[in-house]
Amino acid sequence: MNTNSNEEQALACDLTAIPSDVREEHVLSAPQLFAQAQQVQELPDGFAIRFLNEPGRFMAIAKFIENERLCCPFFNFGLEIEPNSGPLWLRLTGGEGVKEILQTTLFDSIEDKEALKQLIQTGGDAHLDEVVAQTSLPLLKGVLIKASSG
Amino acid sequence: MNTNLTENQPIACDPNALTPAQQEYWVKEIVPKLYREVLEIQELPNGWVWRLPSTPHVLTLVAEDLNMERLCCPFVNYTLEIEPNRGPFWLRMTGGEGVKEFLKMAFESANYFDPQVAQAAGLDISASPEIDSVEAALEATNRLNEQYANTAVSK
Repeated sequence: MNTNSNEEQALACDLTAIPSDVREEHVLSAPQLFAQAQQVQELPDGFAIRFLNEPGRFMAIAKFIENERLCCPFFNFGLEIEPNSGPLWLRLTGGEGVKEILQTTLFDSIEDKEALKQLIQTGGDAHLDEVVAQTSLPLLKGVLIKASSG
Repeated sequence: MNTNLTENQPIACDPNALTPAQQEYWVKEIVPKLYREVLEIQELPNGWVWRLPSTPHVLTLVAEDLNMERLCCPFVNYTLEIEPNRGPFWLRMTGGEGVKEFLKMAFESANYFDPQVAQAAGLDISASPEIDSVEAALEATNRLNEQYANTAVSK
């Protein structure tokens, strides 16, 4: 279904693309959301993250996507609601290089502050840089990766 | 990705899964506005997919709609795909046996869609009623559930 090429897009997330009044909230809420993940499946071009279908969870994920797609426009997002109160799946995928960025932000620690600034750009906002640096990356630390072809 | 079996689950929507306030909001503020945004409807082997414009307003409408659809019509598998670089949104609605047919009846049960979009997808909404109140929506849902049940029995 994907008809939009992203092969020449620079692979860095630009927080300034998010409306300024919700920028910091987005950075702070992402770790809280991902802390609720139950399972991660590795995909050929990214990862699928499973959440319990609890009240408020769906809207929280939709809110995350609303801002994240502005900040990191090279991501392809999928949000699936399984039938009969089944789980929610958030799929984060993309073209060349996207899975590596996901691997870094979801699972790896980023000790180098300059590398973090290159990956998550704030337009020189020192306060936001500090918020990003203190955010509990990697987002999915401790959540089991379960490789699956499903 | 689907790990939840749909077999043996009743194919019928239950608006009473929503509170009266949710029903009012959904019928008046979400469904008419969302359906008008649909740019294209494609048939899938096991359901349907809508193409929608990639605006924050539409994303909010879709999220609000699915947040209630999943309660009212839980037998449907909903998947929203958001393409990179402000590409379109694709909302897939699929399921097991009978779900595609039920959804077609649901799409034709009201005149929400742009007539040209509906016609291009082979949907007939020319005689469909306007749903402008919760009462009308509840009646339409009852008719839809009965229509599908009668069709299923006659097979």
